[in-house]
Amino acid sequence: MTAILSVERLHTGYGKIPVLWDVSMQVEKGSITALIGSNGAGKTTTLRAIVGIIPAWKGRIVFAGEDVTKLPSYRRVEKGIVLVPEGRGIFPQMTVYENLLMGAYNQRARQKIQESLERVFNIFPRLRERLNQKAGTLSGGEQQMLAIARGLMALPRLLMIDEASLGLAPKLALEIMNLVKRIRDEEGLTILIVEQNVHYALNIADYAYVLETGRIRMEGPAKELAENPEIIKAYLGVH
Amino acid sequence: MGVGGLVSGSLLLGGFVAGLVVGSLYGLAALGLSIIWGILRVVNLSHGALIAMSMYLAYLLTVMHGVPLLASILLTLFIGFVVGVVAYYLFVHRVLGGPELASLLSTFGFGLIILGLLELKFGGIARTLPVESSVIEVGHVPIMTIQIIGAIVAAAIAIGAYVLIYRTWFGRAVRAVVMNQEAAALMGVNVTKILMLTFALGVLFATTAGTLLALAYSFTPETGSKYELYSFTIVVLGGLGNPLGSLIGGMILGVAEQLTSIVASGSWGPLVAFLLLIIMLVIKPTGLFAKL
Ligand SMILES: Nc1ncnc2c1ncn2[C@@H]1O[C@H](COP(=O)(O)OP(=O)(O)OP(=O)(O)O)[C@@H](O)[C@H]1O
Ligand SMILES: [Mg+2]
Repeated sequence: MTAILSVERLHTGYGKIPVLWDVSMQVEKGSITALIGSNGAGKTTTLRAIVGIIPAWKGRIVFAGEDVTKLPSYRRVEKGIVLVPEGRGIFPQMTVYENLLMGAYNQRARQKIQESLERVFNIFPRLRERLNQKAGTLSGGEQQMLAIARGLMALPRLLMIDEASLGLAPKLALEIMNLVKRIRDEEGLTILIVEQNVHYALNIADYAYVLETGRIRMEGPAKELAENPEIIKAYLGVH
Repeated sequence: MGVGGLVSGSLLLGGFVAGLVVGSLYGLAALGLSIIWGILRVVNLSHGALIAMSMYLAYLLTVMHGVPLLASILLTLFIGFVVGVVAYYLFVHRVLGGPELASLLSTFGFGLIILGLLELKFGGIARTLPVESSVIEVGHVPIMTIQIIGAIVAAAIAIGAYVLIYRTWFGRAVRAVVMNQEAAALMGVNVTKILMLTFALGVLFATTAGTLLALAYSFTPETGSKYELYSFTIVVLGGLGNPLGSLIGGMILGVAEQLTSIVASGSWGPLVAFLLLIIMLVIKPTGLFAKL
């Protein structure tokens, strides 16, 4: 097993306020890795630091054997680090098609637009029917599908998805989770997910990290964590 | 003039055509203000000074250094673009995302520097470019051929800008940055580069319009402020960031100004612009056309 992403002793925050202390994690190639933790733990911040939207104060981010810590985000995207952000970040006044094209903005992805579109429509057939609709008028579930599809258009080598199930009805959330798993199973894509719904996350993930107030508190195979009494108590809520 | 205050129809036709011609240059100048405003959310208060700068650059090259007219126009535009790039990093980049007042003050200050330098070097005397051009008459209103060429160039640039924004990778990236800067960065867009190029492009449009206007009209360092007022009016008329809106808004203002100068006097132009501005702000503050 080789790690495609390795976060080494990462410290970062906003302004002068630290949010992450000494976060280390590995993402194995072809795996689904989950990062879980309560609200405000720093999950989104971790993903933003990995893609380079915010700088690392200390520590290193190594991707496919290369230190990318100092690279601007557009260079990291070019290398295949792609984040589907919390809140989806679709471009509301653009059509679905234009959003997908924006996904393929990086030079590597631009060469393969037709193939990427076919691939994305195969996974999300609903998007094909709505190509010319303004993205802002899509339903919440459709917007989430578009956000993931747009991420795939970038030809990621690591796809990070922040809160795919947020704000969706349970049935739809489950459907999206299964699609994420399908993408990994069919294409061997490496995926790092952040999820509020720990149950969903541990269900599809191979390995998971638990973040608490900016520190990694626990890690292990998802199946083991799902049976861990502390996790069950804190996140899986036995009533 | 028409007997007893009556104005002949052909004179009005001439004024109308002359208004379209000069109005497309106003539109191009306004486009420079409009895209910077619409995309960077910066009201560029050095806009008029940059227009004046381009007029004097063309003057410096042709009159003082004997560079052929076409070459000096092209050189002026090149310099205009470079000034835009440098000004972005010096006066705009660090105030982006800050309070609105910061960018107003910093671009205003930049404008004052330009105007100060122009006053120092050229004084306040009106200058003209040595332009030889044939004249055609439309309904007794003389229009220089070179103005017509300038108008066609300006209209072509505005249409080109529309195509650029709505049909190219660059334009899609620009619109993405407007809608959601962080999401655009996540798509691999180099946001700073897009903002810098947009600013430089805005300055290029303003300086192109200035240079073309200088072919037909005399100018002083103060001239830029008139075109700045016109540009604000047109942005309000045509909507923010919309190139075709700017072009059409410019033509509306040009026609209004020229017709006024036929029935009254040429010096009424700024007043007409101001009236149009106020009327628009009252009846439709979002402009006649959709924004970007
Ligand atoms: N742009 C910002 N500026 C300042 N502080 C921020 C910013 N974004 C997040 N924070 C702070 O950083 C901490 C971690 O936030 P983050 O969004 O990473 O948490 P999270 O684990 O993703 O939470 P959630 O599950 O609610 O999405 C929080 O205390 C938050 O208030
Ligand atoms: Mg979050």
